[in-house]
Amino acid sequence: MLEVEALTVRAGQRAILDNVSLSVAPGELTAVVGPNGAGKSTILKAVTGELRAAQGIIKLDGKSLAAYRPYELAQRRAVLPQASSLAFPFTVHEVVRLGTSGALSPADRAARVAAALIRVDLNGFGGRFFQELSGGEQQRVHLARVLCQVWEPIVGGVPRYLFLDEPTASLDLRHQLLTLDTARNFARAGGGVIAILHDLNLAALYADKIIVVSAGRIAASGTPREVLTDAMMRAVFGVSVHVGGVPADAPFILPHSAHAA
Amino acid sequence: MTAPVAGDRRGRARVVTASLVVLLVAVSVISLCVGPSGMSTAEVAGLLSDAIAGRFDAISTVNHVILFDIRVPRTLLGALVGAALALAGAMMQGLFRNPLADPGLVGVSAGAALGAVLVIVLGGAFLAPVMDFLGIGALPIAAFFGGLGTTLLLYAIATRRGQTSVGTMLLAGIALGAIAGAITAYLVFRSDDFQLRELTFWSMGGLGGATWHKILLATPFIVGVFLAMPFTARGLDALVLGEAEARHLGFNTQFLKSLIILVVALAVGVSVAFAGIIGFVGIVVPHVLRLVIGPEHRTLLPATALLGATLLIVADMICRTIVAPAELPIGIVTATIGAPFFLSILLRKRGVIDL
Repeated sequence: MLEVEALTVRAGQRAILDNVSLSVAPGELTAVVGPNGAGKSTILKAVTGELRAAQGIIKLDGKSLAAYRPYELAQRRAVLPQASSLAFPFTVHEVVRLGTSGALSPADRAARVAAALIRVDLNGFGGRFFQELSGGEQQRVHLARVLCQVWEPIVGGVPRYLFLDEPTASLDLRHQLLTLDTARNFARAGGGVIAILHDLNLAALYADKIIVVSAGRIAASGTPREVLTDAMMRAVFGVSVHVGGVPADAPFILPHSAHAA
Repeated sequence: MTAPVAGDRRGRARVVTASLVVLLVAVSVISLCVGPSGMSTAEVAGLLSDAIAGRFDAISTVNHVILFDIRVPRTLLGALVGAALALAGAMMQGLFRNPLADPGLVGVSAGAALGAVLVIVLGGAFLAPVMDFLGIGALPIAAFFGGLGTTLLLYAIATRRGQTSVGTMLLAGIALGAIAGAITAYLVFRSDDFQLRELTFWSMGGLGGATWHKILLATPFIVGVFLAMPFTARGLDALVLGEAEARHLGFNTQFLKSLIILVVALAVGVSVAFAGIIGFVGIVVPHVLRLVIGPEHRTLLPATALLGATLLIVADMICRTIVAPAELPIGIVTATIGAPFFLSILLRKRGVIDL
């Protein structure tokens, strides 16, 4: 269980996060949604330990985040960054291998890398240069690396966590679905997933729990059905919309009924 | 032997590294045979086998001096300095996440030289008590702190919130180098004739002053640099993804960065103290090797040390022979090879340098 209590983060005088409390349970996929600048990324930075200048309590499985050593944290949770460029010509295989533990034998590491690449639909991409891939492919390479880091969702009864910062941002629909399928499977197998999502439809479709962040505060939290309401859409996103409504005369594509072919 | 995995270049790295060992040994032997005295390869081989067999009385004094007091230490110093400079380049490029970072280009060598020149010029004056205390170690220690100070300043200036700006780094490096150069020039201006001769050596670099004494002094420092390789290699790989990502992968990035800065300063400080400013080794060697065996530091660092050693020995041979019996400063040779190289990287990566 990831628990955050009374988290406040300031940049100068302004509070980016103001008294935020939330929890992420293992076995669930928790989506964080909200308008631009609401503080979603800041929450993620705080709970991954990237941001130290924070007031409040952050606990991972009962122990304060600050009490973990970097390598201990790395064994318990993996973080998918929004975008990450490389200065040197690494191959896809080499990038993904960075996520595998040095405790594995070289053959096991290679096998793990290959399995992870299959999971993100990049089978056979091992020999390609990372820099030569498209943005969406690069993001999936990082997903494979992150999956390698926490390959088993539970180790010795202790759950592991995936922190995903807009994992679907530059992906096509099919790979959006595949990526979130992978994340949900991870949660179903006992791990914990917290994902920042922009697409409310995807959040509604995949999340067990949605946390709505607005102006540095938690505006709503609960199941998709509880959270995604006309009132919330108007108050938080400033959009007048009828949730669940069907546009009358324009074609529309809903991922709800789709699955990756 | 299992079938090679696509994208896994470690097998190739092993082959290349083994070849580099052979190349280094071959070049070292050739280096022992080259020189103005006209000793033949067969004679050198005879002398070496005499020495290995312990028959030192069979060796004439002249031959002993030429081979064992001049050529062997010179070749050894070339290997040590070349390896250290190339490693410093590779580590600095990993730290700054940029293939253009080189201790010579961004002022670290100039800072180290300033430290050394301070000791030479002011060593007899008001630094005398410090000199007496440190003895012969004063020069490398001063060069180390000169290099360390510059690297720390450079990192502090070029890095904001874990992101290193390439443009800022290169420009700040030029500025820091210029400041160190100005102070050095002032010290040269007010130095006497004897000091001046010693100082000329620093500005252009060279292995001419190699002695066993210097080798003994330099070896422990450079061994320290070598020992840091296994502790920094995996961390350097992770740093390539970014500082936050390296931390997420479990690395103590603060410790890692401090260690790398320390090791770079050590390598550059010792090199500058004993061989003067030699540019471009740190940029050419890692770049070539990244193209051949890939950028993974676990394989890149040892190969870099080997090729750096080889390259500097070759450059020194060119210096010794091209205008014999005079000698060319080695900095001229490395710059002639290295500068066009640097330009070619720049041309291909023009997009990276967004000033």
